[in-house]
Amino acid sequence: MAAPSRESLGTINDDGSRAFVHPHDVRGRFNFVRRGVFAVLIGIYAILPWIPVNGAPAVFLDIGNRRFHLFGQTFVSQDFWLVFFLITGLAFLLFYLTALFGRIWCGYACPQTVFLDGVYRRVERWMEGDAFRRQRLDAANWTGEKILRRGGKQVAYVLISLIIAHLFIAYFVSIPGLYRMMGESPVRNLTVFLWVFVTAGILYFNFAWFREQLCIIVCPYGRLQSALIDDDSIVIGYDEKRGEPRGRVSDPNAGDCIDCYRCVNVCPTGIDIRQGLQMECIGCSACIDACDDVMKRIDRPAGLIRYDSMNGLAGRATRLARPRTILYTVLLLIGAGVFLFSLSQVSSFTGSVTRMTGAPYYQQQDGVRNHFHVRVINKSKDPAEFAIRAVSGTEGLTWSTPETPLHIEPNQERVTPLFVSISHADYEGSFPFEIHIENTAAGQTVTRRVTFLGPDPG
Amino acid sequence: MKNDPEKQSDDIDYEDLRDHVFDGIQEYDKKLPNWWLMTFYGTIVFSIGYWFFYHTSGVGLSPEDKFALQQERTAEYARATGVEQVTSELLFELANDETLVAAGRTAYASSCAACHGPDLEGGIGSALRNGEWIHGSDPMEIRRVILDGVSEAGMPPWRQALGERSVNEVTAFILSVNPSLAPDEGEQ
Repeated sequence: MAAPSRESLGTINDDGSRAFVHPHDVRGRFNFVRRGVFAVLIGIYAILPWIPVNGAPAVFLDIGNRRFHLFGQTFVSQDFWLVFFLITGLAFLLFYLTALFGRIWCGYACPQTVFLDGVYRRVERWMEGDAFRRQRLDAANWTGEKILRRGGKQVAYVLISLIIAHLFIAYFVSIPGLYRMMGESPVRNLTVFLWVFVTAGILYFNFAWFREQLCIIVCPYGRLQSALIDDDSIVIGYDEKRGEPRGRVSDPNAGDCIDCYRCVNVCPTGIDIRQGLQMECIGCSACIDACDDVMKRIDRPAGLIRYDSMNGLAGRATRLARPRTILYTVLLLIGAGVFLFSLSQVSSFTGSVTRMTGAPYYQQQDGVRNHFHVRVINKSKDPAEFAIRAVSGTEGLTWSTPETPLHIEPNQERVTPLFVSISHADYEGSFPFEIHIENTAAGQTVTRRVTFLGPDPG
Repeated sequence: MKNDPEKQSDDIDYEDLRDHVFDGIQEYDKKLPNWWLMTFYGTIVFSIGYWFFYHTSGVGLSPEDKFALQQERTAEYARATGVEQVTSELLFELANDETLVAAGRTAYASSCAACHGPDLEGGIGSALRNGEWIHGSDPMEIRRVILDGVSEAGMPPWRQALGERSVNEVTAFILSVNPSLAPDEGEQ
């Protein structure tokens, strides 16, 4: 690989072919922390579908039944509007973190990094050896040893991809569901079967070959970086003032950088961090650990490459509290407050009201009548009973339902007719009223505003 | 900065630098990544297969064709299960089937009892066991009233809410509690 240049992509050759990066091994405090974080995150990913909370797995997105179990709380498709907060909240949190600490998400928590550096590259290192060996293997003829090592690695990759894909699908069909389907013919669960293998195929392609191309070319987050960070955001940077001009250790006129290329060799995206902050940098901190190690060996202070802001690297003070971060904090608190309030409004059941098909109202000797369908979903794990009432300031409103109270089994839904009527004497034209659906045991009530329709009183 | 001309080193090949300038920013004419080009060519190859499969060979069905096929299957199923060819005789037969009557009783309790009373004694709606059949006493007429409603009397149509099959079951339930409706030869 030629020396990285900011004028072209380091991982694509001039003829358009791929320049495959073989990052060198690196040890150091940040790498240690990263591996710990990877282990914890993979552990969480693997264990969530197995932990039962309130009778359902901790995370079980039961798409088939439109029931979404999250940490003991069950959501139905009618609660889907909450996803707005989830998605905008996660995106905003990411922007917030970026303004403060640059791309620590990419370096520590993105699944792409977690699985690539935490699993697939470790397997590669174990089966093919260090970067020099891997490069030599690349150039070597297809001998028995190369076939064995490369083939063995690919087989391991396929197996790992299948395991990750099965765990992924378990989030949607639950572990018992997955286990049952694994014992049945694929034809019976064709959709799930295809999902597992398509997911595994994508994972395999991505982690075996595509790798940093996803971060550099596909992922939009890196491209947004220039808009999300400013001169006070903490990024990974090279202290140019201290390092330049580069020279030998023995040269008294040279800066601290001895141009050993360790930082370039360990970089998983093939850039030279000394050329400044770049879109390709995923903030993995490998160059920091590599440079600190070299500085220690030549008895110079660590931190020639370090976590610092652009201002900090230029010798100025870094301001953590600045208009941007203060505004972001305020917005985050508002958003989190609204989200928590909305979550607290989610009840153990969902009730909705629709007007029955047919005429909008019926007139008879005894009065005017409206017909509604009330749909109630019991989201709790216990059977529940519901009382349905029509409430209005207008005198003389009566109602009836076939079953009082309405009994609903756990996680089931029922639709019941509701007939609301008023006598001709009390009727003075259309008026709004409320339909109250009360979970009698829990004491929670859902209120729906509807309009009582009738003839023009004239 | 990146595009500061003074800081650009000499080892850069300016041959593929393109002419146009925007705010002092110029661009190179580099080759696209081969994998990226492959996705582009891949879509072209795919489109040929797609065109052949859906528009030429007649093997792949368009959404309209699929819909028509599904409708045909539904109609066939309806014919096979008798939903289409309901007759008074069939409804009387259904009234002797205990499981169907039970299903009808459940549907009645949840949808009809509010108006017609839990014991069919009537209420908002007319009574269903006093021998008076305002809209006709033939099973097919009763079924029609449930399906399409009687708007002047305030009976809503249940075709959509219950479905024809369930309406048949409700009809069977009503027949089962009104033995007087049965034809003479049924009384043995």
